[in-house]
Amino acid sequence: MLQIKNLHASVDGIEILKGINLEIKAGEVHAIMGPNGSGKSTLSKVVAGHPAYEVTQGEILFEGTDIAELDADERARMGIFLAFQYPVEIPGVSNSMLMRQAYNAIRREHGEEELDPLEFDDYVHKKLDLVEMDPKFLDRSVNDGFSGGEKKRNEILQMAVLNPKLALLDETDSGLDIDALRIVSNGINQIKSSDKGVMLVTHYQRILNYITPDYVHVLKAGRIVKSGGKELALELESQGYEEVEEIR
Amino acid sequence: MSLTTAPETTFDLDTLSSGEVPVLNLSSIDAVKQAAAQELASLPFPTTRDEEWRFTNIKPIARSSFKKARSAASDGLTYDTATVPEAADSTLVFVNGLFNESLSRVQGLPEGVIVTNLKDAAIRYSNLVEISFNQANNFEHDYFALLNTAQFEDGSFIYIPKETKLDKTIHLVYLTEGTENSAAFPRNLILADRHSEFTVVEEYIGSDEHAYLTTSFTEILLGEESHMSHVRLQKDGLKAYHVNRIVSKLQRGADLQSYTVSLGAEIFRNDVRAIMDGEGSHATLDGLVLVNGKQLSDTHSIMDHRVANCTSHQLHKTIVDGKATSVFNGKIFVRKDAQKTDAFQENHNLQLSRDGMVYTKPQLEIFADDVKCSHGATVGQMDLEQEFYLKSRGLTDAATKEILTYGFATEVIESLPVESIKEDLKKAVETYTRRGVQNN
Amino acid sequence: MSETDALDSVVSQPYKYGFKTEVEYDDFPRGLNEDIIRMISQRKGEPDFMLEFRLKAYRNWLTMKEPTWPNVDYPPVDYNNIIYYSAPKKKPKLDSLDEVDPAILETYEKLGIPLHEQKLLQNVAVDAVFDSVSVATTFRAKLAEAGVIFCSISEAVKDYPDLIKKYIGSVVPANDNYFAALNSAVFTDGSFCYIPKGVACPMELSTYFRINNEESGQFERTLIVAEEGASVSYLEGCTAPMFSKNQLHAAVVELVALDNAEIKYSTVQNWYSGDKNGVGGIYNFVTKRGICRGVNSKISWTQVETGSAITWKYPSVILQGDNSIGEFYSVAVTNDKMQADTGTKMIHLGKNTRSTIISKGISAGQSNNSYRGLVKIGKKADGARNYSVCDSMLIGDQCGAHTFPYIESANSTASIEHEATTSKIGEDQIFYLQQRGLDEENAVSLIINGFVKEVFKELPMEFAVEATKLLSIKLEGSVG
Repeated sequence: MLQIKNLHASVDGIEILKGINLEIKAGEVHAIMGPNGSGKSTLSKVVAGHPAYEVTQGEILFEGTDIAELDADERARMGIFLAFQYPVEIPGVSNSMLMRQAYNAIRREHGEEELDPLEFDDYVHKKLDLVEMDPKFLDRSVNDGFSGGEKKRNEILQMAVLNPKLALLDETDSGLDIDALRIVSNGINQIKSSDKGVMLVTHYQRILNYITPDYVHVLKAGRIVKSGGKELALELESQGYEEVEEIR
Repeated sequence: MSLTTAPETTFDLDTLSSGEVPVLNLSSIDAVKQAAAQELASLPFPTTRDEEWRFTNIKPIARSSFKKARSAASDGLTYDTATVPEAADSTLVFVNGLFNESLSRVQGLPEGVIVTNLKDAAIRYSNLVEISFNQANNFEHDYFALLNTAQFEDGSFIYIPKETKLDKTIHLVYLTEGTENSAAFPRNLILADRHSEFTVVEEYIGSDEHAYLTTSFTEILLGEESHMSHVRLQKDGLKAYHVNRIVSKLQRGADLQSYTVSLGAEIFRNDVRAIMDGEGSHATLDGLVLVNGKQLSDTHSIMDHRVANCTSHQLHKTIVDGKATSVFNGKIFVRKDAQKTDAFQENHNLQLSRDGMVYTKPQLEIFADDVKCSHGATVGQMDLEQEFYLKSRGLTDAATKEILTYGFATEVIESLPVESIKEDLKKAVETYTRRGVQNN
Repeated sequence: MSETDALDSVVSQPYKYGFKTEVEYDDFPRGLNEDIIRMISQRKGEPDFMLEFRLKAYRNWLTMKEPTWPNVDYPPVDYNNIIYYSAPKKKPKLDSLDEVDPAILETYEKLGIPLHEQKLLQNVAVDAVFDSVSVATTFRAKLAEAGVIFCSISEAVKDYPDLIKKYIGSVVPANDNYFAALNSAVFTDGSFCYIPKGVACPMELSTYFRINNEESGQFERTLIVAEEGASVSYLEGCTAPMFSKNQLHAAVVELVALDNAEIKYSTVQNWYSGDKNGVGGIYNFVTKRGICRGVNSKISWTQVETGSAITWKYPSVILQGDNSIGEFYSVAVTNDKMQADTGTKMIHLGKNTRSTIISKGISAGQSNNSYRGLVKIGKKADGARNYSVCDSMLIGDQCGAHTFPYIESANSTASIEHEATTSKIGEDQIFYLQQRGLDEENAVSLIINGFVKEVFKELPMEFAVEATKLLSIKLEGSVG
């Protein structure tokens, strides 16, 4: 589903990613771990197509197509979803309006008929339970005045609504208390399926108690320095990142 | 150095603006003074028809006659430099605009730090004076800027060398005493080299007995990564006229924390401008104005963002009592190249009496798109919720008003960097508040 | 006999100085003098008081100077090179839309204006399905039933001279400002609405129906009076682009609300704004003012300003009656080389008067957009309240946004809150929406719609829909 080959990326001329190789197949959950500044958030932004980052070398293949040159919205409509670490506030734009437009954009892309506001309302209400969200959030402006936990839940709600093939979860667990973490993880687990890939970017092992990864990769200074199964996460937790040896 | 003696002449502003120009004996500066005098001669006195003076009627100033002080002889005047212990050994005292050496006390400053009067500095440090004089000034065609420039005889000069941190507070005291209708034109230059750190308090004190005029002008040049705390206290007599100007120019990474507290004068006009001229610089221009009786206090400020990545913050508060008037005009300019500017301005006005007037005009002029600029202004009474809360705890009406007014004012004072000044001002606020609450 | 009575007796004589004819007049000679004004008044068959009003205004105008304080810049207008009167001409009748400039049709299409309305707008001979005359007639009958007077101001001057005499110039005095004085001297036509006591106007009134086949005047004059307990919603202008040949537009609008009356005035202004290089375009110098004369009355201005090369306009409310309410909702969009200096004045005189100001400015291209406002609390306005929000958004780094709010309070029981922000559409916001699958253009328009929502929701529904489309057309291609 996602193949990253020797990916180099920089922002403002400073190279952050220095040759990443990674493959995520349908049905797999990959956890990307690493210390602050290792480039793990950058990786998810680059895959999603953030304009501030420049791919200087390498390839990002999504279902066989190189997407490195595509705009963020084109990638989104192909089925890539990024749950933001810091979801952006957009005053005046209601949550339901955004989701309907986004959902219909994806349907259009697939030659499907768009849902009118009433049909969409039915559809979205079913998804609210996944993240235990009050329907009143639908009418509020996107993330405007939301608490940290509400913002993260809102990201997962949007993911549930848009039903992507590949989910990039950028530190979705950060800033969540235990209850919120449980709710968010639950939501993710219910969306997870054999035809979807998940890339879970996290600093802590905590969320992996709720979402079991198939693979764990450790990112350091823009490179994957170690890969392994879920046990690697526990190892990191007890030893800390400093102890992880560089492979090369 | 000798004390200046000027002939005693009575003048009104008209004759003054076309009269003789005192010299500093530094040719480049005297040339600027001459040019200012020339422009002044053809410049009409500002009226309320000028946008910049729309709410501030200064006809009383134009109608009065003033005398320039003869000398800075103290006439039995005393000033105890220990009033502000932080500045016991770093205080300059001016009387009626002229330097008074015997009342001043400057000693034990770190090497290279210069704190002296401008006339002296013009002789001993002519280079430093020349590079700092009129550098930040771009108040073209402004009557009082020109008047000060043409007419000043002396003032303070401060130089802080690079990498120097000054723990002492520099205190500049301007006393007006004894002479009826005296006019003073202090001109102050403050020059800070890179990575320096220091605090300056300018204080203007006068008696309530006579009308007098102070036209002051302070120029501040802050070098790279320098930090300056600046406090300006205006405690003039209630018949005084005071027109002041502060211009600061900030180089890369410089940081200015400036506080202006104005309590006195019948008519007070304050023009404050910070020019962010180097990237990453920051200016705070806070102000507190307390007026009563027939006082008129007018603050015009400009945050001039000329380059990218600078920040500015302004909190300006006024309390209006009696038949007093408060005017505030705060501009934020963001010039074309000043991307990533972050500028915030707040202006809050508390009206205690029925007969007071508040004029406020916060103003944004933005020519760059990637900026975050905002301002907020409020005019009104005390917060009813707060009032109710305090009363529900058993406080009397008077006590409630006193506490809330005091609290309103002290928000600005709390951040002042000099402890003794802070305490002194809190007392002044308390007196003002008590009087206000009793009268209304 | 008192002076008023004397005037009344004069004006009630039918057509003493006037005559009526269906013949089209020739244009008057260029230039302005008292003779021209006399001719205007005579051609329009006006009673004496109207001529006096005009002449007085003209004499005042001669002593006045064109204001230079607005933050706009334009070459001097030669007031002696303007034709001050040309009879309301019928637009040439066209046989089909094929004869209309395709550029106009394209804009209509983008606006989603139905075909039959397009025909109306372009004065194409309409078929039986949609007959403007019958629409207008039905419309009038319904209004007459309710006792509402809605006609051109020229008709009103002749048919309801007492009302006109009582109210014209009562809110915007003839010597109020340079452009108002000019308008008072030479106004050609406009609308008059009178809502009698206790009547809620049964429909939204619009200039659309009345002047769809006339060139709306260069010096338009509108007067709306709502008697005690009356209410009306008035829509001005048209969302379609008006390719007026007149460079200078100096209109005056006066609103009078008596006790418990309510007037809602909505404008969508999209005059020609000149080309990309700032050549051509309308100078829109308008004086709009309402007075809440009665207790508990309310005047609400909503404006969407997307056109004109230069806009100079401050729809204002004088809050005289106790408990009266003034509102101003504005979206001003400037692009290319447009210049807008617009805002409002809320003058609080009565007790417990309240005002709200919501202003949203969007600057793009090389344009300059200024908000200029005044909130003034008089000595007797105990308990007055004002709340103002002025937000500006910049698109691109060649434009400017300016905020000049004046606040003057002479009453310690008043409470005034003002906030203003300036920002740009965040790259992060665009990326976030793109990440959800919206293309850049959609993302930007969604954000802009969010930005202006507070104002658009004040517009009548059809207006809001068209204003939204107008906004996206106006800003098309300015991002990216």
